[in-house]
Amino acid sequence: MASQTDSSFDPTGAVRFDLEAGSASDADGGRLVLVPSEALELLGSEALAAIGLVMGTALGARIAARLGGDSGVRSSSLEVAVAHLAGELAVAGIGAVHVERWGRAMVAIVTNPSIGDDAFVGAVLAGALSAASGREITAAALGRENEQARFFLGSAATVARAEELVASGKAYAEVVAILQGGSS
Amino acid sequence: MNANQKLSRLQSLLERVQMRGAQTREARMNGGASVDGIAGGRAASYAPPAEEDLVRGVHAPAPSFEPPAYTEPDADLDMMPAATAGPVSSLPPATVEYDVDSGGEMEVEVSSEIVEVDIDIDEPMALESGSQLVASPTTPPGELEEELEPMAAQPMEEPAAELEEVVDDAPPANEVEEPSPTSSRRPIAGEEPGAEAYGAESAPRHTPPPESGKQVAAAPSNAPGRIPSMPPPSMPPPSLEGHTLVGGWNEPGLGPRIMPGAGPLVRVPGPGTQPPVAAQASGTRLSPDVTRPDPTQHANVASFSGVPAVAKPKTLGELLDLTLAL
Repeated sequence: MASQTDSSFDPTGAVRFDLEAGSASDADGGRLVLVPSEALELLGSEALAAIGLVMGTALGARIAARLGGDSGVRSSSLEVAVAHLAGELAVAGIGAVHVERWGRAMVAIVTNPSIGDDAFVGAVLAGALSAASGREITAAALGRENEQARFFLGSAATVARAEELVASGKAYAEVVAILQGGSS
Repeated sequence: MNANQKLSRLQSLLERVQMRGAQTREARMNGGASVDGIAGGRAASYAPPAEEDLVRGVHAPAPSFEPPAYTEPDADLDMMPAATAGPVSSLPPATVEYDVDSGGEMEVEVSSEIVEVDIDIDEPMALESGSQLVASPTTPPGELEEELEPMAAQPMEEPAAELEEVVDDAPPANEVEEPSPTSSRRPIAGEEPGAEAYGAESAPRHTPPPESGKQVAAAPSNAPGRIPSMPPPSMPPPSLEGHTLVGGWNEPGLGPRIMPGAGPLVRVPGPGTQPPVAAQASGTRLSPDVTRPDPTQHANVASFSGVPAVAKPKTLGELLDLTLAL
């Protein structure tokens, strides 16, 4: 397990399998269930969003535990914070995550997501960041392109506006530009 | 002689004729056979002119006697208008029979017979809609009335020979001669039999039109003068053999045209291929001297100052603040 002061993400002991007890648990002892992604695909968006939000909150809690709480997370550099966030989502099997900053907008890109429903992945991201930073973060899917799913991370009101723009057919770059006060 | 005089003379003649006719009828009533016998005997002694001669009139041998009715010929009768076929056709013409007395006395038997003359007169037909008469009446109405009166009396007075002579000069009885309208076609030079009478002074005759589908190949040797306001004529197409001073331009592909006795051909360049070069008096060519600007290769036209404010958050907290502030 990585130390509290280690800025880099150390996945050692992130998942423990007790073969005698027949259990799987995280580094803190929390029980895990390995569920096939096809089983989650049978669920609807709301259920997936709820599951993803729970999973993300657990991931964020672990990041915050490693980085010294939510304040430590907020004070962490982007590289450290993104490294821990991406490490936790990779161990959970969600997908490969990196972050883009478009002006003032924070956009998370998930490559090769395990679940096709963007509501699930977005909920994981929002839950993790919210739990890690102690701020209420909401994610809006901006669309997929070449096995990459883009999500805008911001307030609930801004996310709702972004979803309207995406529904109107605008590309993610336009949506981001509009959200920052550009041409509408 | 005016019309009144004519009328008076004609009336007198008519009275005499009627009187003699009455005497003749009376004589026939009294002894027709004797009259016929007399007539027959007289006929044997007198050979009336043949019908052909009668028609010719002038060629018929005139009788050696003078009929009493014509012993006092009226000179004015000759001046009377000749009988025309049209108006007289409806009047009963009369033939005159001469009764010659072999004893030196002569009696004139005048008998009138009705002879029907079939005359075709082009009566005006019902005109089609829109058509109009082109020819005007040959005789004005005023003159027609004037002619009708003497013609009514003339057959009773004129001898047949004279009558036929007049008729001979007139057009055929069944034809109405109309004067040529002034707008009729004028004869052209080629149709006139005496066209040679015009000689060199006659106007140039029309050349026969070209045959269908052909065009006149030969151009006039002297081009007509061009009006200054007219655009210049088009240039002939460029010839592959170039242009010559002899015989104008050559048709492409036909080669230069060489005239007998002409000197060597002088070739000149075709029009419009070289830029215009003005010839100087000294013989050197005059070409333009162009002055063009030399633009600078690099220039700092625009200058920038300052750096746009770009948020570069260092921590995740700063980025979250920025994205949550949207």
